[in-house]
Amino acid sequence: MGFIMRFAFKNIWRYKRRTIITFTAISIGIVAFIFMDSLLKGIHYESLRNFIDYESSHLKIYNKEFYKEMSDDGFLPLDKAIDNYESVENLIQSDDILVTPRINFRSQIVNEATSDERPFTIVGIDPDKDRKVYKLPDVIMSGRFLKSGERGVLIGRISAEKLETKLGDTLTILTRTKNDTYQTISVDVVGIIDPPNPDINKTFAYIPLDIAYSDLDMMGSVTEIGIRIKNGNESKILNRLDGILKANNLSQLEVVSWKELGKDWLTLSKTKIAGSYIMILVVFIISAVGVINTMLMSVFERIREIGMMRALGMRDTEVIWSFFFEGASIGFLGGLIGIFIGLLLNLYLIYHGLDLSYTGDVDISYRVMNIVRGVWDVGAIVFAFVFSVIIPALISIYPSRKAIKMEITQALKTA
Amino acid sequence: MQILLSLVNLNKDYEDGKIVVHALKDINMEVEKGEFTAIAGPSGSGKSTLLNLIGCLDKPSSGKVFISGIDTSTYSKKELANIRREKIGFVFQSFNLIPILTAFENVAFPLSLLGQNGDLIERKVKSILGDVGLDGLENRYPRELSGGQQQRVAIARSLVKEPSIILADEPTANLDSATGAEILNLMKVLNEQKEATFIFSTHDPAVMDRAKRVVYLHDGQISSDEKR
Repeated sequence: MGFIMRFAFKNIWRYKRRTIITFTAISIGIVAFIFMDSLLKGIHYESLRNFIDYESSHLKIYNKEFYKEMSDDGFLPLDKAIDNYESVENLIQSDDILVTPRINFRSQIVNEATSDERPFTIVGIDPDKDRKVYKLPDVIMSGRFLKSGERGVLIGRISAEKLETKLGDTLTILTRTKNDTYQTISVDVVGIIDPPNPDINKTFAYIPLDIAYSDLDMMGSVTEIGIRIKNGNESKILNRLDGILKANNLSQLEVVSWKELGKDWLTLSKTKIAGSYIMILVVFIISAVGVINTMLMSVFERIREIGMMRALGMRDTEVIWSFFFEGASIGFLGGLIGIFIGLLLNLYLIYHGLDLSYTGDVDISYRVMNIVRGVWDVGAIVFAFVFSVIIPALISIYPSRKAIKMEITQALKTA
Repeated sequence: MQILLSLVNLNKDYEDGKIVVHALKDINMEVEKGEFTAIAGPSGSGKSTLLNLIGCLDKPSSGKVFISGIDTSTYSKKELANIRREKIGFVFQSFNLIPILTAFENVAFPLSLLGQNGDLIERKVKSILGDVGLDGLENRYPRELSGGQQQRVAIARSLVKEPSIILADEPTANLDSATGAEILNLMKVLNEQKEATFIFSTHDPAVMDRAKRVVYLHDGQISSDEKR
C-alpha cells in the first residue's frame, strides 16, 4: 500500500497547472468556510453578548400581563407591573445573582430646540444597581452616567443624531402614567451612550428610577427585574426563582431567560446563519466540481496506462486505491493551503476584527454594530480539512471504477 | 525440456454486432522454457488475440491455457492479475512506460507490485538496466529517452521479475529498422544468457528470421509451425 500511496502522490504532479487550479479551488472553498464560519459565529456570540449586556440580562422577572396588554397606540400597561418591588427583591436575593429594578415605558421624546419628535422606549433605572447587571456605563461616549434623583437622561448616539440633540439639551418625554393620564417629563441630556446593540442605540433612553417612580405614579412598582447570574446554572436558578414566586403567591409574575426573550431574533439570526452556510455550501460544491473535473480527466486520459498497469498485474482494487490516494493527496495539499490561508485570515479577524459600525442605521437583524471578532472553532477547521480530503478521495472512486470495468485489451488500444 | 506454456483447443470468438467473428480456431501449441518464438501472420490473423490469451489479458471462448501447468482459463480476474504479476512479462509496441516515473522507477514498478523490499529492488533494477545497456540513464524520464532506449526500459521492466514468459506485441513496429534490429538482438541475447522465454508477434520478415521458432497464423488458425 505504501508503494501505491507514493505512486499516487507522484501522479498529482503529472499535470501541474491542472493540479494547481484544483488546489486553488479547494483552498478557496476552505478559506471561505473558515472565514465565514468564524465571522458568523463571531457575530452570533457578539449578538448574544450585546443582547444580554444591554437588553435582556440573563433572566428577567415581569408581570405576565405586561407585554400582552400593549395599547393600540403602543403604550405599555404600567398597571400590570411588579408591585412592591422591595419585597420581591428581598425574596429572590441571593449570593449567586445580581438584581436591578427597571421601569420600561413607551414615549415620544421631543427636542425642545428643534421641535423634532421621535418614539422611544424609556427605561427608568437605579444607577447603582443597574451598572452591576447591565453595561451601560461602559459605553458612555460623552457626558456621564445617571445619578439618582436628577432630571437627566442617557440617550444613544444614533438617536441623539436623529433627534439632533447634544449634551445639556433639554428633552421632553411625552408618555402616560400608571393611572393612564398624560404626562410630560423634562430632562437634560447628561450622557450620550454608544452601545454596540443597535436597538438600544437607536430607540432607547434612560432616566433615573426615582424620577420614573414619581412622574409615572409608580411608587414602589417596577415593570421588570433584571438579573445577572454571577455563578451557577441558569436553568436551576430560573427554576429556583420560579419556585420562590409561586410559593409567595406571586404567580402573576414570571421568570424568563434571555433565550426566551430573544427567541424571535435568535431564530432570525439562526436562519440568516443557515442561509450563509448555504452560500458556503455553494462555494464547496463549485470546488467539488473542480475536483470532479480534474479526477475525471486524469482517469480518462490515463485509460491506456491503467490498462498497461493492470496488464503488469496491478489489481483492480489497487487501481482504485491509487486514484483514491491521488484524490486524497490533492485534497490534503489543497486543504492544507486553504487551512493555512484561512487561519491567517482568521487571525486577522480575531485580533483586528471587522468593523460593522457602518451598519448602525441598517437592520441586519443581529444585535451588533461594532467591531466583530472571529472565533476559533477547531472543530469546524478540522471538519473543513477532513471534508477537503475525503470528498476528492471519494469522488475519484467513480471514474477509476469505470476505468477498471473496461477490458484490459480495450484499454491498451485507446490512444 | 520443461513445457512452460500449453494451449489446448483454444478458441476465441467476438461478437461484432450480430456477426460472430472467430478470431482463433482450435489452437494447439506448446512452448518450452527458453524458446524464442515469433507468432507471425498478416494483420487480422489473430496474433494479438493469441498473445492476449497467453498473457491472461483475455479469456478464451473455449479451450485451455496452461502456464507452468496451471490452467488459467478458469481463473477469476484477481487470480489472473496475480498470474500476470508473477509469471508474465509484457513488452508493448508503443513502450507504454509511465511518464511520471524515471527509467529506474518504471523498471521497479512490477517488483513494487510484488511487494519486494527496497534494497532487493534496487539491486535487481540496476543489474537489469545494465543488461539492457542503460547504465547511467536510470534517472531519466521516458520523455528524455529515445524510442530505442524506451523499449529497452520496457524490456528491462518485463524481465526484472524473472517471469516464466515474456510476451512482446510487435516490439519493433514503432522503431526504425536499425533500432528494431538492436532491440531484437538484445532480446535474443537475454533469451540466451538468461534463458528467458520470449513469445513475440510480428509481421516483419526480418524479425521472423531471427526467431528460433515461427508459428504462422492465418485466419485464426496455425498454418505452420517451424522450428529452426
